[in-house]
Amino acid sequence: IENHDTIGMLALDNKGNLSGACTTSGAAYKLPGRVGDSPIIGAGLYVDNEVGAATATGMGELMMKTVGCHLVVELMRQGASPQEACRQAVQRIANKLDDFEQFQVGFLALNKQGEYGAFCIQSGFNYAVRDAQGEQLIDAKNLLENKA
Amino acid sequence: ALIKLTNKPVVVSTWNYGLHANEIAWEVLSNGGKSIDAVEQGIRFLEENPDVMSVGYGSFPDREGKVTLDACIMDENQNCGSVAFLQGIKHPISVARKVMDNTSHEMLVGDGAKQFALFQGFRDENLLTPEAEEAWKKWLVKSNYEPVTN
Repeated sequence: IENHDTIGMLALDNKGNLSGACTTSGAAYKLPGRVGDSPIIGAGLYVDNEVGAATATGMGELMMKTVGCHLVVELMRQGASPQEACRQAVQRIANKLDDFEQFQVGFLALNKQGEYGAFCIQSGFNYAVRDAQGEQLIDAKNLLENKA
Repeated sequence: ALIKLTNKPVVVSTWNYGLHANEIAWEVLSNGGKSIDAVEQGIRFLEENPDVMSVGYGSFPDREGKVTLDACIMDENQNCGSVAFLQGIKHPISVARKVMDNTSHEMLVGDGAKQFALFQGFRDENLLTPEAEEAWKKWLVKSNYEPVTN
């Protein structure tokens, strides 16, 4: 997992404005010239100030072919909570893979009301929150935890 | 009717390193600063840290031993900046911010991104730490040189 932990960050400021940032060195020992989702607006990061923001971690190729973070924000636009939007986006990626349990993708989202949530395929993805209540490290819900 | 209060300011970030990055971003937010400045400052803190081996300085290289970095940033007005395949520059997030603020483009890659960064005053540095180089050389020994899907 340490092989692909992009750092993504989303913030809502005092004026109620959202921004996001995402940075990575990509997969260790990647082929020269390989680019993942992290620098791609819509895949590794998306912000719509009317709705919310999302960022992603895990296997970039999967986020790129589903335009994952744009999807998460659009699901929030349709009324989903941040966690539910992340869950639906992860589910959509998993549905297209025969062996989704072999992969990790995780989304983190923050909406205009300052609510946040995350979801991933496998356990092990966590995220950090800082607000007026203090700091927290939260384990993201995952697709495999309700199985077996 | 109940009025739901907005929880603000707030910052969230991926992985446990995010706790440290959030502290930096919170400094900006709790002083009434802008979210775009908060996320840039928070991310810079991790890019600088050689112990975080998947971001910025100290990262694992590609299979030829080159550290190549990708980053993007987006603000509340749909302004975006992005860099990819950038080498030798410690803070790709700030180069992405400069692409957003100082050009009419959204994405620069490779040598062009580096030339832009140098023009904007960023320094050319060796980003491969002895620790990352050692890990790479160890990997090379067993490497079957096929794309890894992890």
